[in-house]
Amino acid sequence: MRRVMWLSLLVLVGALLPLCGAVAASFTVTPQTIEVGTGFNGTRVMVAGQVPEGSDVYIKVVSPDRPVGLSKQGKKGGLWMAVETVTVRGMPGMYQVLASGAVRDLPPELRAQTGIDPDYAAIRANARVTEKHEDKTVELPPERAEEFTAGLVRLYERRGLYAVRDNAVRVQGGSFEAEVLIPADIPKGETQVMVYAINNGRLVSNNTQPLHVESVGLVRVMADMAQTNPVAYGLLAVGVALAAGLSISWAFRQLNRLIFKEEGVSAHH
Amino acid sequence: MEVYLPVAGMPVNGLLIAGLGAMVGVMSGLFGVGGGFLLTPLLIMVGIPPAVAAASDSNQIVAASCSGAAAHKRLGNVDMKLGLIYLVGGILGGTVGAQTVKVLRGVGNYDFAVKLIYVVVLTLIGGFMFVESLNALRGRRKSNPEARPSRFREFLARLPFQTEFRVSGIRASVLFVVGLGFLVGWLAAMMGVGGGFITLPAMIYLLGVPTIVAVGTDLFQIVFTSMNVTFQQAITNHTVDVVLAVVLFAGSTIGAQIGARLSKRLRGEQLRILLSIIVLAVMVKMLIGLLTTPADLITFTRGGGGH
Repeated sequence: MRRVMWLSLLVLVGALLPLCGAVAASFTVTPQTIEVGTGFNGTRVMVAGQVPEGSDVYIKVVSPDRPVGLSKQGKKGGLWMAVETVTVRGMPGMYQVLASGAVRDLPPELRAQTGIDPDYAAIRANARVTEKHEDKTVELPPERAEEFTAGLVRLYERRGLYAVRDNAVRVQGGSFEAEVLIPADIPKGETQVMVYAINNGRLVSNNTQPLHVESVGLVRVMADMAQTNPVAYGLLAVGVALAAGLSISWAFRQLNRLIFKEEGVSAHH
Repeated sequence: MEVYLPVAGMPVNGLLIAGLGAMVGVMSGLFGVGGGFLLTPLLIMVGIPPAVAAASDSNQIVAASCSGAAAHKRLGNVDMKLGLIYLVGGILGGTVGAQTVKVLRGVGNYDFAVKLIYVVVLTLIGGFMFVESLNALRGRRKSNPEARPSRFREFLARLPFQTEFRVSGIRASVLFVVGLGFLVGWLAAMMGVGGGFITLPAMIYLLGVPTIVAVGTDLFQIVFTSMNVTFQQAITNHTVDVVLAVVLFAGSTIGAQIGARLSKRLRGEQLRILLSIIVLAVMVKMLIGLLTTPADLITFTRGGGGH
């Protein structure tokens, strides 16, 4: 019994060795926090650090998973409308890969180890696509799910959320440096930045750093309130509109009286 | 100048949005129409998710119409009895409308529905305005509005629950007034409009309300219908973006001042033709969207963002 336990432990360690054997790559993410405020229009994040000399460097930036609703458009009565609606779970809201060389050159075993491939196969394989049939939720078989996960990748790619960029990491000696382009609609939450160093077809070093994405100020107050306290938010929206409408029209009346010496035209209608 | 919209979850060019508001504001100042029916399609065209565009437009309408409504109330142009009965329908319609939006968004067809409704409504408004102003330019007299829908008016007179509206000097069925209010309230939620393009002709031509009272009563009901729609959209669909509404209002309020001044100097009929052409152009753009194969068959169910 004891021998079996030792043996299985040995097997386990053996299996994990390629990952454990890798030295932790040291690197920094600047800035460590992205603040989405009123003037936010996307940003750039620098990833820089040290890897064993002569390595290829792969950087992976992954947002938390978020469920998303997708529709398939079809023609009905000559007009284009949604004919099928599904929910996709398990795919990150942002997923970017930056490589010092070409991602396509990564051998299969390293693709499996790092989860990096040129056509998002690894994350698409993780996705669960479900469809509602009356009251039941049914998971789509892979051949039907394929169309939706591929479509979602295209939608995300168009918005700059998904990207695979070759030759986007500069490596010099043991140092590397890369710039990640963060689009304006980056999902909030803790994003992971992972660095893999590959030398002679082996993963020699890897590490992970967090990148915090949070809304701040007015954006945070409004976005939170709209979701968590919609009644108060609705009342606030109505109140703001009434206050703005009445005060602006009062201000214009005063202004017209001063400048044009007349009873001002009412602001609307 | 980028402004991040907290509820839409996306940045927009603030000057562009305020400019759209100003454009519609100039038109409302020039023509005395609200222009909500142009604002929502324009917002959709610049990439705002349709549901957020409509709901935030309703929010903007509250700001844009409340002072005008108050002024008409002071001047005695609001038929309170008519307005309140109309509002019974308007509040119900807006509440049902917000639920309709929710159901349609769930199956991914709100974008389709809103475009379809817009194509129908803009065709009617644009076509009517175009023909009317063309006739006026040719110097023809307008057909007498009293005489035309006589059959329909006879039918209205036979409906139950007839009651007297003193300020307007008319008799009308409560059922019809509530029904009309319901339709306008429902469209207000679906399209993000005030619905003056239905309320005004219906009150003036079908009910025989004097024009100035119709305008005052319409504005009165718009304020409360839009307040209800804003609130219902906020609690049902989480689609009201206050920041978007405020930027739109900033533009539209300045535009309305310009429009009101311009209207004293410019001739109306050519402008009306121009407006009708703009309305028809927006309609054609929406129609093309419905008829042509989408660039990608897979879309986000809730339009625009994946939120």
